[in-house]
Amino acid sequence: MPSKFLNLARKSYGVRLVAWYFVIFVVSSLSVSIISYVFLSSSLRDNRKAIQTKLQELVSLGQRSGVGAIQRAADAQTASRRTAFFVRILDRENQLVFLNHPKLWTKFDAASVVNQPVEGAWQYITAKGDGDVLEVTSAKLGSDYLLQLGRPIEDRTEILEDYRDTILAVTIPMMLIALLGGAVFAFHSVRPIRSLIQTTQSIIETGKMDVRVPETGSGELDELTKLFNRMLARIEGLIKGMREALDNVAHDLRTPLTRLRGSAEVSLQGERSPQQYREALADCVEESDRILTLLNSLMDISEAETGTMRLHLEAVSISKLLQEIVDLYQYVGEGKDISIVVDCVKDLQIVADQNRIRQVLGNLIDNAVKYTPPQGRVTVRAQREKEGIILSVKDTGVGIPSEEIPHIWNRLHRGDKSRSQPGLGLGLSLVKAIVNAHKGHTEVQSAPGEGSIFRITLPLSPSAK
Amino acid sequence: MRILVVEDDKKIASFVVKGLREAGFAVDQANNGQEGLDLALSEPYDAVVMDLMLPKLDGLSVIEQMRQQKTLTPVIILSAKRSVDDRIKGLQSGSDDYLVKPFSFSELLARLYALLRRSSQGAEPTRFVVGDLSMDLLTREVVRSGKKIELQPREFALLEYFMRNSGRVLSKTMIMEHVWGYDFDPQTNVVDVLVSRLRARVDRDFENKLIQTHRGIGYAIKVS
Repeated sequence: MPSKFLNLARKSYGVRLVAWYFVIFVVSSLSVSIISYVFLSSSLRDNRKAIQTKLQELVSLGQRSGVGAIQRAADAQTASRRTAFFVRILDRENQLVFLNHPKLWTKFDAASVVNQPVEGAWQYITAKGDGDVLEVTSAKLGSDYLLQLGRPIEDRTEILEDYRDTILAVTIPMMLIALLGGAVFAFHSVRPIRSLIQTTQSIIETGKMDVRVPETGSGELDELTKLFNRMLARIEGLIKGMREALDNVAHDLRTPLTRLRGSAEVSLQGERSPQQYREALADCVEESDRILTLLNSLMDISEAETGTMRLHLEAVSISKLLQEIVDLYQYVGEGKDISIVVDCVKDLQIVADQNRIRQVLGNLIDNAVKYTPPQGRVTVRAQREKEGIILSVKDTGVGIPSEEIPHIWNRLHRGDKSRSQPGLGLGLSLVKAIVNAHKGHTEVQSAPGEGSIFRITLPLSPSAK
Repeated sequence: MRILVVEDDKKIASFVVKGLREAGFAVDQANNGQEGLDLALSEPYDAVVMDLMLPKLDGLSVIEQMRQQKTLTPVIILSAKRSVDDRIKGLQSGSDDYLVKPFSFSELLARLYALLRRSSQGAEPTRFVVGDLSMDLLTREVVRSGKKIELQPREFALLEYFMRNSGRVLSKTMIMEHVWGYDFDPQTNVVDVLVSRLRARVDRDFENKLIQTHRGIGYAIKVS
């Protein structure tokens, strides 16, 4: 049991808080009591000093004027018990010579003092009946007499005893208060932690990510709660995104996989010429390349959309990048008798992932070239605006019907006119996903028969926003 | 030329080994990292083809240990991870090239040749001849059957790449990387367009076609 409790104490933050609160509370209260006790007792100790002063006074009086003078002085005292001194003179045989106010002192057992008067020592005579104590000391008076002088210390002991009793009586309730206070205090301060633990446990047990820790008040622990909730929301979003991405990828891969499997299976049915086998195998390789491209694009889009895409940010010269990408499509354009023109000032710089932006521009230019009839023109322009850099790709192509514009960014959407062209239907959704990952935005203007203009706005640095 | 293939997937290992043997290499194969490391340290290979996810000892550790033991055999990594970070990590471990699965075998072969050429450091030829077509890198002159052919820079670069690797099939990815200098997957195949332009200049007026299409794999130049 004790070891069990110790274990619990070591583990539970609450129990430790209570214990600390208890120890600190009790120790500080006790030390306050003890310090005041010591002060009280030392102030009461003055009694002895008073007796000694009086004793010396009487001894010198006796030496000067004889025993009779002492007797007279002793009798002259006012008969108040609080301030009166007990005075007794004994001769050499310990016979009583003088005792002042005998009635006052009868309750003290004077005999014990009579029998053993020790010079200079302190003796205590307890009163019969109540607990009063007479504090007595003695001194030689010449060679014949012994002078005993005392004063009751009933008030000192009583006060100290009362005080001690009070402290003792208060100790138990004080400990109870300490325990209770500690418990309340600990309960309150670990409440956010407890709800954190409960929430975490329920997530672990049920796997449901939509639970949140209740947020109350302010302070470090509530800050922690809020951060914890935000972390949960982010994790939930990522898991949801990944699940969706996986669903989409699985769905989108089924069709090309069916084609791949189909062409392989059909060519295996029945004997065919080596040339036919060769064709079938080439079909399979081409199909699997398409599947790979599709898979990579889908992964890119999903990563960009769910925020898991890692951007390799660096300073990119826009004019150089445009020149490069236009150069890539130059021959394709020439083949279709389409001129590709770049319009960009020289020193345009941006912080971005160079390969990703190249992908974006490549896709837009690719589309523009694809859907522009011969003798057309594709203009790629970059300009600096206050919200960032605007890259635009303008063509003199077929244009997009207005009812289709809202859908063009969707994954695997292919417009009626684009079905005749090779492609996966992923280009524009990849463009949008990458631009969004760079914290930019995309827009399009188009009129059928006149051409389209795709405009993307990129912040100078995605981390600045 | 002796090649070590370290790959635990039996099917991949078998087609890589088969393909390399058909290309005229002597090939050894290891099924796990430890075996691969032992072989790489004890036998004099000209190149190593290394998978990353291996039982017993992963590919990166094998390469690192090889480099620590001062075995400088060139290594090509085969990996299913395609991110730039993984690529950089692979190259930092001391490998010489990085190929993402699924890869095309012709690309593996071409990269292997490139590595072997780099490590043998023979004198760079300045003149290539394939059949009746010749190319001089110094004067930048291309002549076929005594007739001079004018080429634009990209066309020249592509032809040079073909002639350096005459007889070998080059994948579109490799041509892209080689001629334009970066890895990019444009939707319209710009490589096809460039190849057809080159064909128009080199092959159109001649009976004997030198540039050949290998469907599904890539292009090659050879005397047929």
